[in-house]
Amino acid sequence: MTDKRIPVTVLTGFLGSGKTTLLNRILTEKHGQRIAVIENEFGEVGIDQDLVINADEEIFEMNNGCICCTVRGDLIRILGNLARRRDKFDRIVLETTGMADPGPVAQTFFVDDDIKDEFRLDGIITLVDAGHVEQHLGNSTEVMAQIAFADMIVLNKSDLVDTATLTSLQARLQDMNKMAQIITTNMANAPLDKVLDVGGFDLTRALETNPAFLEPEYPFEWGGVFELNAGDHALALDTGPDPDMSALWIQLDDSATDLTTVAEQVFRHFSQPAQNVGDADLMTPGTTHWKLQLPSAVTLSLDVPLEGRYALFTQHTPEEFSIRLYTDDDELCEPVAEHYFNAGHTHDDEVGSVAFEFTGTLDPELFNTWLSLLLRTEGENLYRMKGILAITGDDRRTVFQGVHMLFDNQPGAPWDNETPYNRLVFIGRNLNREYLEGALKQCLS
Amino acid sequence: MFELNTTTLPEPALMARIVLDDSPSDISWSACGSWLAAATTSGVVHLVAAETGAELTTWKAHDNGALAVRWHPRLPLFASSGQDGHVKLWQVSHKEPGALLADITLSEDAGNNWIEHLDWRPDGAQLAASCGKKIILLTPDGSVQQTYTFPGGTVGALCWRPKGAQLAAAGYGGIRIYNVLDSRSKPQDLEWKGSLLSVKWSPDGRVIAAGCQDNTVHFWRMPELRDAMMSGFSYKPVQLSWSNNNRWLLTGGSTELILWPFDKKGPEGRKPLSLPYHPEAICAISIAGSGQRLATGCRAGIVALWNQIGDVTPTRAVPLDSRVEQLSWSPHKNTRLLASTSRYGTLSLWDVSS
Repeated sequence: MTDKRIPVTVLTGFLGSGKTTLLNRILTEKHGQRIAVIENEFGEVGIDQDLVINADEEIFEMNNGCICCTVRGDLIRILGNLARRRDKFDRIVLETTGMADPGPVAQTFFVDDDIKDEFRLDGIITLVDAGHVEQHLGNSTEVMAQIAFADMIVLNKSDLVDTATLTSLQARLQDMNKMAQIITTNMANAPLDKVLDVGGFDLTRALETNPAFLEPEYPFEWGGVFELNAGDHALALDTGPDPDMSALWIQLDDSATDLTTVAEQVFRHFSQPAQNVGDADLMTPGTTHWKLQLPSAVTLSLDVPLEGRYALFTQHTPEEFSIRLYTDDDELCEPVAEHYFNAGHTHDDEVGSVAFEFTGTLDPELFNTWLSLLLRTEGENLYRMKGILAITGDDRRTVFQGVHMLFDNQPGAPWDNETPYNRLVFIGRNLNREYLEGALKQCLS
Repeated sequence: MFELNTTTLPEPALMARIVLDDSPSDISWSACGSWLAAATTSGVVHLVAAETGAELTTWKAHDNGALAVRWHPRLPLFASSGQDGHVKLWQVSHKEPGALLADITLSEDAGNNWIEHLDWRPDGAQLAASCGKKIILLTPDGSVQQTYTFPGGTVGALCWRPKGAQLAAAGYGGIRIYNVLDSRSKPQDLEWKGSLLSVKWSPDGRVIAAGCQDNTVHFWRMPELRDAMMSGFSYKPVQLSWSNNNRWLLTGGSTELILWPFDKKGPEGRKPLSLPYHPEAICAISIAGSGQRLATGCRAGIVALWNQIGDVTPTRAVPLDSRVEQLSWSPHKNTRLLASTSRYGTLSLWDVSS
C-alpha cells in the first residue's frame, strides 16, 4: 500500500547556514511539484504555483510536563488547514529558525492525530556552515540537536574551508550522527530530488542509505599502502588538530589483498600501550602502537628493511596533518591504495551516536521491558534511534524507529536463509556505549 | 470485527445537496433560519436559501482561503474572515444577497495574517475576531472598538458568555476573560498549563469548558473558579456542546458520544454516559435550538441523528463522502433542517421534520 499522505521536509540550520538559499532554489527550480512553504522569516506570498506561509514557533508543552509530548501548535494549525484544500500540495517544506529544537517538530507528526492522518515527515535536513559550525558545536545545544536529529546533513559553504578541515568536519558530524547522510555543497546546491525524498522516517526504507553506519568502527581514520624499495624513508607531518596521533607501520605479506581486510587484522594493535616517538625518531615495521608527538612539524625515520608493500594506518586523516612520505632522495611517495575508515568515537561531543551490530535473536519480553525502561528514564536524552532487530520466534525482521520516547516498529522482510542479526543506532546526549551494548546483549535469547 | 450498522437505520430525507468549490472551513445559519453561509478553504463564500435549498450565489470573499463565517444574531448580515488579514461584513437581502458592507484589514503582515475565529456578542453589539494573538472588537458597521493581546500566543478559540458582555479567549496556558464593557477592569485569567483548542460557556454562563491538545477537557465553575479535568479521550475533544438546560456537556474526540452530567452533583467522581455508535471518533456535534434533537458526525463520514439527548441509540444515520466537517441545525423554530458538510466539499441539507 502506498502512503498517500503529504510528505513534509523539515529544513533546519543555524542562521547563515544557507537555508534561505536552498529554500529559494526549491521554490524557483523546475521540479514539477506544488510546494507549500512554511517559513519563519518574513516571506512573500504566492511565488508562482507555490504558497508561502509564515509561522511563529509556538511550543505547546503538555500539562504532564513531559518534553516528549511537546508539539508545535503553529504547525498543527497551519498543516490542519492545508490538509483541507482540495487541490492538495504535493509536498510541504518547513523551515525552522536557527534556534529551533527539531524534537517538537518531529513529535508533532507522531503525536497529533489530525496531522498524522494527513502528513508524513519525510526527513529532517540540517544545513551546516562549514566555515562556522565548529565554533557552535561545543556551545550551542540547538546546533547539536539539529545535527543529531538530521536524516541528511548538508555541509554547505564547503569552498570556504580547505580539504583537511572539511574531511575532519565530515568525520566529526558523522560521529555525532551515524544515521545521517552527509553531502557537501557550495551555495546550497544540493540536488533537490535527494533533499526532497529522504524517507528518513519510512520504516520500509530504514537504514537503506547509510554507508558509514554499516561499516564497523576503527581506531584509525585512514590507511594507505605504499610500494617501497629497501632503505630509509621519511615521514613528515605538520601540526594538526591534536598534539599527538596514533599510527601503525607494518609490512604487508602477499596474501594481503585489500585495506579493509588488513584493517580487520591489525586494528587491535591500537589498543596496546603506545610507544611515544618524536622528531627524527625511528619507526620500525611491526605491531607496535606508535604515538607520534606533534608539538610542531616533525620528520620521522621510517625503516624499510626489504623491498615490498607497506601500510601506514593513522588515527587522523593525512589532510589534517599534511602527512607526506619521502624516499631517501626526497622523492614524494604516493600510496598505491588508500582508504578512509569510519572512526570510532574520537571527538568528545556531548551529542553523539552509537551503533551496534550483532547476531543472535532478542527475547521479545526482555527487550521490551528494557526498552520501555530506557525510554522512560533516558527519553529526553535519546533524540532518535533506528534499527533492524531479530526477535526470537519471528522469521521476519523487525524494523523500528524512535523520536525521544515515541517508538514505532513494524515487521520487515523475512530472514530466509540469512543469519538473523541486530543493527541499531542511537543518537543522543551523553550516551553510554558500554551500558547500551551490555544491556542489549543481555536481552539475547 | 467492527460492523457498520448504519444500513439498519433509515436515512433522513435529503432536501438539497450542493457541491462546494473546495473543502468547507465553516458554516453558519442566519438568525431567522432563512439563509446558510458556507466558507471554503479557497476563499469562496456560498450562500444557500433554506426554503428551497438552492444556492443563491457564490463569490470569492478572501484571498488564500476563508477561515470563518458567522451570522449576526439579529440583523441580516454576516461576517467572514480569511487568511488575507481581512474581516468582511456582508449584508443579505432577497433582492441583493451578499453586498459588501465593510472590509476591515486587521493585519497586513503577509503570510502571518490568518483570522481564524469570529464570534458575535449575543446582543449583536460587537464582533470579536482573532488574528494570531490579537483580539479585535468590531461594531456591526465595521469600526474597530477595542484591541487586546492574548498572552498565550495564538488564540485557539473565542466564545462570548451567553448573557452579557464577557468574552472568553482560549489558547496556550488557559483562558482569559475580558469584561468588554468596563475597559478599566482587569481581565480574568483561568490558568491551565496546556494548550486549549476550544472553549464553550454553559447556557447559564456558570461553567466554562475547554477541549485540550492532550486529549482532555478542562472546565471551571464560575464564579468560584473550581476547576477539574476529564480525560480518557482517544482524540482531541475539540467538539463541546451544552444541552440547553445546562444538564449535559456533550463531547467528541472518541468513538462514543460522551455525556457528562452537570446537574447539581456535577461530573466529579461519576461515570459519564458513553454512547457507542460511530465507527470512528466523533468530530462534529450539533444540538437543535429546541434543545431536543441532536446530530453527531465522525471521521468516517457518518452523520447520526438522535431524537433526544440521553437516547442510547440514534434513530437515523447517513454516510457522507468523507469526514464530517460541520453539522448545524437551523435555528428556525418550525423547521427541522440540518446542514452537514464533508471534507471533500459537499454541503447537504437534511429535512428531519417527520
